[in-house]
Amino acid sequence: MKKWLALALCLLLLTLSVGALAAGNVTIALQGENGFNDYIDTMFVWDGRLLMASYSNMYTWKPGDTGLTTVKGYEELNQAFSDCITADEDGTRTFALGDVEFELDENQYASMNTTLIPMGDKLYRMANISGENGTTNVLFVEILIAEDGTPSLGGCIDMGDQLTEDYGDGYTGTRSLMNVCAYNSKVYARSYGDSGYPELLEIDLENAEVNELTLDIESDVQSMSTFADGKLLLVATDYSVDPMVTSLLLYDIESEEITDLGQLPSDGWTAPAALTYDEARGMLYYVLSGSVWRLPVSETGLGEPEEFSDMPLEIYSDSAAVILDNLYILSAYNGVVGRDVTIEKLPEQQLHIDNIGYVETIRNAYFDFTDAHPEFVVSISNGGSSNLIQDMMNRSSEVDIYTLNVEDSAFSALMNRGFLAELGGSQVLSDGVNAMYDFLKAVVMKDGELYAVPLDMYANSMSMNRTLIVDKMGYEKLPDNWVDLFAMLADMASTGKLQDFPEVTFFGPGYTELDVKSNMFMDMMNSYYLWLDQGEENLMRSSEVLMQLCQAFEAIDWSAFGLPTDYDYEGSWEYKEENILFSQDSISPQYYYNEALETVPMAVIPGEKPFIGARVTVAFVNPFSTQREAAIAYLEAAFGKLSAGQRITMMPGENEPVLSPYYEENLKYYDDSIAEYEKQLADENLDEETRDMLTLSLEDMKKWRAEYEEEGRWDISEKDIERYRQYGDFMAATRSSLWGGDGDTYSQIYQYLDGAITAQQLAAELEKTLQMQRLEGM
Amino acid sequence: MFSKKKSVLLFLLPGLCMLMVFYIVPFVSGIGYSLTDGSYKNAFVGLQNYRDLWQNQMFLLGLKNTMELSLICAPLLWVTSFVMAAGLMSVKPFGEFFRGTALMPYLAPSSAMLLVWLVLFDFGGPINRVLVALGMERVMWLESAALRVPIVLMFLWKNLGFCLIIFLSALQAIPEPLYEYARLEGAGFLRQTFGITLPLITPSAFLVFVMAWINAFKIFKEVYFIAGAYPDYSVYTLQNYMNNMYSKLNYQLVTTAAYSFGLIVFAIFAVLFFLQRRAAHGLN
Repeated sequence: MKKWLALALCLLLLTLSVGALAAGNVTIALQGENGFNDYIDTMFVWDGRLLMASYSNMYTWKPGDTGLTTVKGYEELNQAFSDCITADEDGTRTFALGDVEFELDENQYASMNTTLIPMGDKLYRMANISGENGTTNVLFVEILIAEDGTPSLGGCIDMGDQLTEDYGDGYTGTRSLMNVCAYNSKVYARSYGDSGYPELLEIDLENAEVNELTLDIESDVQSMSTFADGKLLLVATDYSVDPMVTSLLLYDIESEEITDLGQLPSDGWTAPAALTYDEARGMLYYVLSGSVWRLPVSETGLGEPEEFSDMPLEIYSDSAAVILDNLYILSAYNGVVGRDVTIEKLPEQQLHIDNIGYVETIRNAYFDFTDAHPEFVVSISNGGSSNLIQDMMNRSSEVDIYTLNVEDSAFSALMNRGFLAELGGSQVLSDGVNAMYDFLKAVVMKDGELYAVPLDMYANSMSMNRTLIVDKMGYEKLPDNWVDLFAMLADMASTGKLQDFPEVTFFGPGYTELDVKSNMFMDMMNSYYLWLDQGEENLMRSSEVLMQLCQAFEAIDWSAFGLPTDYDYEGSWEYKEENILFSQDSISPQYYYNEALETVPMAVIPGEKPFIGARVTVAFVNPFSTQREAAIAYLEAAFGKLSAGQRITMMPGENEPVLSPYYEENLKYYDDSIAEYEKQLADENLDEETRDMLTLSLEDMKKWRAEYEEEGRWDISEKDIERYRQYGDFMAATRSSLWGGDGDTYSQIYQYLDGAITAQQLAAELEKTLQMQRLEGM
Repeated sequence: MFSKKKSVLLFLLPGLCMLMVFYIVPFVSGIGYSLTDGSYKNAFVGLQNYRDLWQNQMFLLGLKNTMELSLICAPLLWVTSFVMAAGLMSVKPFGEFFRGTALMPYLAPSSAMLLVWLVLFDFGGPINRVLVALGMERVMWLESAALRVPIVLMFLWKNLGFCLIIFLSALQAIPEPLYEYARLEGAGFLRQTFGITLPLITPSAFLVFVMAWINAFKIFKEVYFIAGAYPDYSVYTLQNYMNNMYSKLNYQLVTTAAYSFGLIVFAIFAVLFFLQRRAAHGLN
């Protein structure tokens, strides 16, 4: 008796513990964490597990697993598919797989797509046969899974060109399929056709037919999910009204009739996405405003939507979502997470973040924060700064953290009026900001107090071709201010120097005279506004300086450069980087530099200090937030998530080079390719032409490997950091956007460029606006 | 009697509650708002906001322009609508047509009318073409101090119809025999106008004047639509100032400016009402 009781108790405890393991939210995979650096493209429930696939890898997961299980042999399928093309003795190339066989021309090749589609107990993967003019055939290849889990290629269904789309100029591509689902051996998906509008496709794999189903609605279908009994749920948005209206429609596949079930909530111009319907629970699950919602749905109508969890991933209308046991699982480009659908309601403690500035570290911080504070849910949405102004006016505590670009006029209003919570109590944030460049500290600190945290920054500067300008054209030096630059251009025009270099272009091929003129003037105006931002004393001289710049600009005879006045769509777009005279380039330790061009920080006029404008995005805490401490803790987590590259960009003391995470993987690719070529060359039956071609390819591959081994090790090398540090002292935060306010500045500048107003009138207009702002008390 | 009063109060109660919630309470709490410093801490600063405001050049400029525009627009509208009403009284055929047509601009949406005005007064528009044809220089109507002209004309065009209707109904109420007696007594047109017409339409005339002035004070959206937040100095109105302060989150200066202006308007209309009562007493 006692034995049976003990056994029963054990079984009970086991069941409870399994239940405990299954319940609760889970992070299944996260980009950059635990060695996961892949992009999940397809996800669905297969045989009681979650099956996910990228181009090269397949993963499985089931509740209770601590991580993803990689399916061995999936990557090899790509090569196996390419190997379905064989050539016979007289050079005829044939593709053969299962019952499908056809001849190919010399330019055609076979490649697999990332899209995996479950159909009952079969699994299919989309593939293409492509040639000179793009995709010619779309195939559905059956993937067989052996007892030990190893995948292999099975049969093949040729859809011909039914799933291709015309890109124009005779080039075709494969239509991408979104929200793919299967019913009764047919595949249903949304897809953009030649019309440019989303269509609803029915793909009959048995008969290799594609049909476009009739969608008799005015609105755009944003998302789709299976329902029950051969019906689909569609989310359709009518953008022609303000505010937009989002409806949930029931689509009967057989009769092609639509029933409007009711209106769905939306957030601004964002409709619910990542839909999935759980037939057993009668609930539709979706993501909106950074949260997961559930909505009772029946054929007669909708219930009340209920927010029950947060969603840290950034989603798009074609993000995939499934239900597995008690989890709503969603995959997006940055990871895969599961949310427990049995949670009755949202936890009391919620943190709301309005990520107006689209800062990635804010999203990345979610997991660290929620791990440390499991009692919180965090909703991250992307609103607009007009909401921010309204929130402050209403003294709303709804949003706890905002991110904002410093150029946005709302930020200076907030700083001036004190509508930001003090962050000085956080040692992490104080130390972090103190380690940043002085110009960044000046943006976020006032009267010695810290009010915001810079989380992203990028700078742009004028670059010039020293070899062309100094060495070949004979100018003494590169101009370091706009007046001298315009004087040099005026000299180039009057002396006809450019005619000796017909292959040289100003910014690149295809720029017309007006493009070059307006680009130069706009770049100069950006520098002018950056200079104005630097102090009150500059505002006093604004008009005089602008007149000097305009006079120098007007001295240039643009017509003498021989630039085209109209766009030449038939012309060649080929160019060499060493033939480009000027560019506006990003100044960053991470990004590619055009080696032929040299960054030149530009002053407005001779004798003034040159500046390089930096666009800064900051995060701050709402002073009316009722969860200030938690919000500050979140910012600390976000600060901790700054990438090595961002730290180097913003902090002059961070100078450790950054290794490339893909270095070993890429070297392996080169080594594998070299081994493959050597293997093919070992074949004594090769003809001369093929042997020469392979030998050339092998030499190229070895050369590229050597180059990569030398240069590819570092994402950010010592040399990159050293080059970037030269410009640190010139950087200044861009505070006023040229296009900001009511857009008058923009239209006035174009009136000047069109000759409708003179330089004096332009200067007077801009001066007037600045004066009025100053007198109002900016 | 008591129950009659009670039922009257009951009928008035919903309206009074709405008045309380949407006017009285915000009005009173706004005064308190104008006495704080405007930061999120909302510290009490007494009359400092009022001192700062009345020393601010742009507020004074906006106030001056608002008063000037209203002094130009209100009397012009009054005289024009009176003259037109008097003229329409004597136009028997098509009188109804003209009356209906005159009201159309009042009903048309401002943004639609503004688009028409933008085309008319554009640098290359019909108005400038006429000027060039007459041998004059083109004027930058929309980008300079000359913007006052299209603004005033637009004000007149929009509000003329409504004032016209009020004058027409007042003129129609004057008994015709009075004019007959006056003609028999040898009174000319001017004597009839100043002796009969104007005294008898005084209440309506006063109403038109007040409405014209109130509408003139509200001139802003046309200026903003054409010239943006920072138009020429001559058309920068008080509402431009308030709008700019709002976008800078300086709600305290917005409310301070609003109450300051409210006091001025109250004083002006108090004088006008006093004059009107004196005039009415004199006529009686």
